[in-house]
Amino acid sequence: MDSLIAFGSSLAADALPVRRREEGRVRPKSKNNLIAYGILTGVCLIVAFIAAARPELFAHGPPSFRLFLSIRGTAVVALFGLIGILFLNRGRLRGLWDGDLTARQKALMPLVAGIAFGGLDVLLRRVIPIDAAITALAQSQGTERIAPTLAGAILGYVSGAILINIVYFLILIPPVVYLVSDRLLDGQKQAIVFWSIATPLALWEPLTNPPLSFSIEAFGAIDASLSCSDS
Amino acid sequence: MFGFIVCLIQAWFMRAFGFVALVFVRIGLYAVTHVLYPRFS
Repeated sequence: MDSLIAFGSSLAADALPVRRREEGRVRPKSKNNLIAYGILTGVCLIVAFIAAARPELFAHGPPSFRLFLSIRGTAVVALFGLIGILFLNRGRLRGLWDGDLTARQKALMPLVAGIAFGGLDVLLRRVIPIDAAITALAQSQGTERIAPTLAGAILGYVSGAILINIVYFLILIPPVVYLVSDRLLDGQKQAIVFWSIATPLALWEPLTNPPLSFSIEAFGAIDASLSCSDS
Repeated sequence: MFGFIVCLIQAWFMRAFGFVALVFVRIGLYAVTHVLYPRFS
């Protein structure tokens, strides 16, 4: 028995320096998260710089382009997104780009799903005259028709897709799942906790799309207030 | 309602495959609804 205890103690003693070395290093998941987040926000910043240099590419874009294409607005959203990265690094929720998954699972399948939903949306718009209603509303408010150039649309909407999801999903979901499921419940009931926060956010996002935009505009207001404080 | 369902699917992708997967769903959606459809409708 004593020899067993001694053996266990020696194992623990051996493991301690290893654990300390592990803590001193950046874990692979954290490294992947930071690299992936750097690439995503880097793309947005590049688009913002292109917009600053070539604003004509993005002329006649939607009002949300004012946020997506501003360098300061992009930087503000990217900084807020780091909250989510911090909690993803600590928690058990999937990282941004986990090594145990294939690129097909992380990129191709979601892209195809998005395209399929886009096709479904187009079909619905053919059946329900929503486009005519939106055009009539825009005309009644005196706003111009949304028609950016092809290059502007590709760049602007890719940047918008990244930034809008940082705002609606990345900033809130990882902290809530980490604090409630990982810490309070010892890693239990992650699914319930995840969907408890993800479902209202999924409802919040479409409700705050134009013309009912009162959330994303708040970030525009942050950007505007920063601009005012500079001048 | 459609937007809500799409966002739920996005959240499912985030939980199953990570945040980058969620972003790719939105990029695919915007490619059709915001880039291609306005040019061909």
